[in-house]
Amino acid sequence: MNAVVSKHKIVIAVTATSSAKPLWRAAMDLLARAEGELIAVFVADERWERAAGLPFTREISSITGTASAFTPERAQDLVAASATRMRRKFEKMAARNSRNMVFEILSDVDERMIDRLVGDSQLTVIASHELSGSPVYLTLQRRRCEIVLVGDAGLGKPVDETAD
Amino acid sequence: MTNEHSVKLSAAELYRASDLDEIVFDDTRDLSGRGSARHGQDRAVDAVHFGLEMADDGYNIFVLGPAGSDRHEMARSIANEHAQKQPPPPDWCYVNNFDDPVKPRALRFAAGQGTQFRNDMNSLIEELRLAIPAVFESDDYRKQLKAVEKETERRIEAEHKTFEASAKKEDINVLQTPTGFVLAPTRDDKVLSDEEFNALPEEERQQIQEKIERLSKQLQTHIEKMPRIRKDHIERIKALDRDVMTIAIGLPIAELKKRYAQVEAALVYLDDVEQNIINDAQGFRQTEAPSLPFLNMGQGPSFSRYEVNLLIDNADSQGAPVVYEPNPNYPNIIGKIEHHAELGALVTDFRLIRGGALHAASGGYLLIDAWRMLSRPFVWEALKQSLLAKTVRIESPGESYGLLSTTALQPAPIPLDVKIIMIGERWLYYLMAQNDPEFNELFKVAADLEDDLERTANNTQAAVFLIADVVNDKGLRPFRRDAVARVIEQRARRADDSERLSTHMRSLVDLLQQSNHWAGRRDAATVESEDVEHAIAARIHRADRAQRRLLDAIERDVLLIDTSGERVGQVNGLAVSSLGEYRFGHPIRITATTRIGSGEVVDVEREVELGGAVHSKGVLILSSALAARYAADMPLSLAASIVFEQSYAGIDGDSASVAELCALLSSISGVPIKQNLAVTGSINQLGRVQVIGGINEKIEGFFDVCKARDLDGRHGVVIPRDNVKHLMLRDDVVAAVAAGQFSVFAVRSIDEAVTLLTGVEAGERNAQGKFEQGTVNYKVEQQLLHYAQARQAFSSKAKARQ
Repeated sequence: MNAVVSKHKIVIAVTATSSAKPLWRAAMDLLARAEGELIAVFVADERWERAAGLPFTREISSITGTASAFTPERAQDLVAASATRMRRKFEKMAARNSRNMVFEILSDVDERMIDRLVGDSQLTVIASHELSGSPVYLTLQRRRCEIVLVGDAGLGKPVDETAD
Repeated sequence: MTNEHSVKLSAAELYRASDLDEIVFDDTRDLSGRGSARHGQDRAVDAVHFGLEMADDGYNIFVLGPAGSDRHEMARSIANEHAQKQPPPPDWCYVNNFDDPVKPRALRFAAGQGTQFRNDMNSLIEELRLAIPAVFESDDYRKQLKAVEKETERRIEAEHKTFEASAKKEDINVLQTPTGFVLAPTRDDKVLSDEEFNALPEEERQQIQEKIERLSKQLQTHIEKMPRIRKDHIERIKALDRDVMTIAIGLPIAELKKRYAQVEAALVYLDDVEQNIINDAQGFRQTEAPSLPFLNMGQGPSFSRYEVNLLIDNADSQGAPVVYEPNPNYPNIIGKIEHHAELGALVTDFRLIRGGALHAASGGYLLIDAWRMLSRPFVWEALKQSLLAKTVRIESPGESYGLLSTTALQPAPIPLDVKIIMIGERWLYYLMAQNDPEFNELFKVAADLEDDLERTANNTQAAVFLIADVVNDKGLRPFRRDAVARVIEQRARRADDSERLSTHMRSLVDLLQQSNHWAGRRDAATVESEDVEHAIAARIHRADRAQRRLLDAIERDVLLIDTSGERVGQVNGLAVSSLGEYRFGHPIRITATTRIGSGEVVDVEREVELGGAVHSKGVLILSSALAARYAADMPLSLAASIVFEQSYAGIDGDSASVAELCALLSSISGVPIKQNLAVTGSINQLGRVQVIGGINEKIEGFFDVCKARDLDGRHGVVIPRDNVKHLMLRDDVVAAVAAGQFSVFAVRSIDEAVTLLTGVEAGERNAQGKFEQGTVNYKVEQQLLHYAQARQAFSSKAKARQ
């Protein structure tokens, strides 16, 4: 009898405000136990886009408390900048650990992209707590993916920007 | 008539050989250990002792003496004698001033304690370097720190959650972006899109916007609380750090305080160190050095700030210090503040303060060369300032003169208690004494070294002992008795006086070393007189190029000097030229011309400013002597010119005034002067021939010219009688005199000189006040009378014509 051996993927799911380091460490721990393909996924928060579409939405600086317009362009810029920043971090950490890694960006409401990511693999997702309850989290749950929540990135907690 | 033989000197009178009969020795090995360069220098030695003993202000010492006179060694040895009887002075350290780092503090410790304090502080630093990070890495500290951090996080999170919950109740989501927060309206927990929002009734849309507006203001207020929470957090951590640090450093600092309980300033400093470490605890938590040095610039504390700069260390001193600074420039005397470059900027701190000779000598003695000090800018003023203020303030000359406006270190001044022994030439002492009023206030003691000593048996013996000591100290071959005698004789020649001995040390050492060299050349075990002779001759040979050129010029009749025959109004004078330390004599032709005039004697050298003041004085004196002697009762109706022929350089001194007067008298009288003779000597108004300098060189100079043209027994030199005691002539001159080939005549008066030079009696006034006919003086007087009458006749005719 031929047994179908599914491919193991470890996916690190990050948002713009995630701390990359603890997630990476968790992924490394997993890979130490069982080899698999490593994928870092930047999950774009679709709520930003929706909120930015409203004409009165303002972004209030967490440092100064000043308010500024939160436009769709601003939201796109933030997503792009955050994704780039995360990609660099993960590439750096991968190079340091001599790991091959794929980096992707997906929208948390784009189920098609999630399906493509899952495919027929055995998927383990490592994500920060802030993703719990998000559309992508729910989708992954439905696809019966193993989800490991790491860290405690509560609201207002400073974004991890330290050198990795 | 003056009897030539009565004024002719014997060979024995031309050189005084050493008499060492009373000293029993074969060579210097029999004598070593008994000499002293201080012999005969009682005045200077007593003065130095006096100056060193006087504790009152201003009793610094100036040792006056020529270079090479052993003045340094004398001053240093006496200072050492005094220094050994005194306790070592205190140590001084510079340490950081935590209140004002620009003004480092000075700490005084007993001798040797400064080193101990520096080492103790280094040990403390080493201990803290390990202990402090260890404390911060301890489980206990981490637990406490974690608790503080958790508490802060909890507070922040609670604040956020409260706000988030209150917003959610109003269907508003708080979205976090990398840079802030966005408030977004929701429906069924889903953020409204633009279309969904626009689909809402106008009133509801209005309400949502108002809610968001209100919540935004609340959020802003909420955010404004964050810095306060974080500040509280930092303060709590600081307090925790302080507590931990107090425990970590308390014991070692307490031990140091106990050890230095007697040094009040050190206790105050240790208190400050303790407080500073505690206050800056945060900075000590960094255990790893930054990858680039500049990343740490100006940030956080460094252990180096607790180092000790030991400026004056007397740990190994047995007595008071005796310091000689060979290069007395400003930083070497006053001290300096060094800098090092950091990213193109020059930076400094208290650790880079460097003491100068004043610091090193404080509590003792400092020897400085006056000339070297004066030739280096700013040093004299700074030295005076330090002595007057009794403190040493280390600052750059630019600051000292108010020329710099940049911030620089201002180390606390260090009290100064030093005795300065300045060493210099006499002229320098008198120059400073005359021109700087503060000099006399600060240097009240002059120690004047003798240039030479009387050539008594006692002094000769002392000189022999000194020679033996130098020979021994320098590791030279032993000097045989005859060699020592020759050296002693050379000391007299150096003194320009057969009755005195030079005290000049360097020339003595040079002669001994060079004699030793020539003895070595002939593989001799001991130095003989021939080696000394060789050394003297070789030294002259090395230096006499100019002299040889001059003699050559005379031999080739380029420089016109007659050494035979007779000439009216022309005489061989004698001059001495100095080239560095080498002096040589040579003849110089002096001519005089006379005619009717109004009594003026023109000194051509003076007219063209080639004659110095003393030379001019000599000519004026001889003019007076001429008038007083021959024209006391009639107008001196003479015009005369005196010239140093073929002399193109400056001439000074009055040693040619006898020669000049002789030339003048010859010109007036028409009596020729023998050119086989040369004459030297100065004259006073009464016709007395007086002593002059350089007598040996002058005689030897004429001798060399005559010898080159073959001595014929008629050659000779006329010198002042008073110079006979100065004669220490060369062997070949003495030998020529002994063989009757050359003569030296010593005269007391111008008449004796004139008689010798002309071969005609000068003549004396008889009872009627008249000179005897045929004498030189008679002819002079008659000629002057003739000039006066002729002038009077000429004047009468002129008046008649008018």
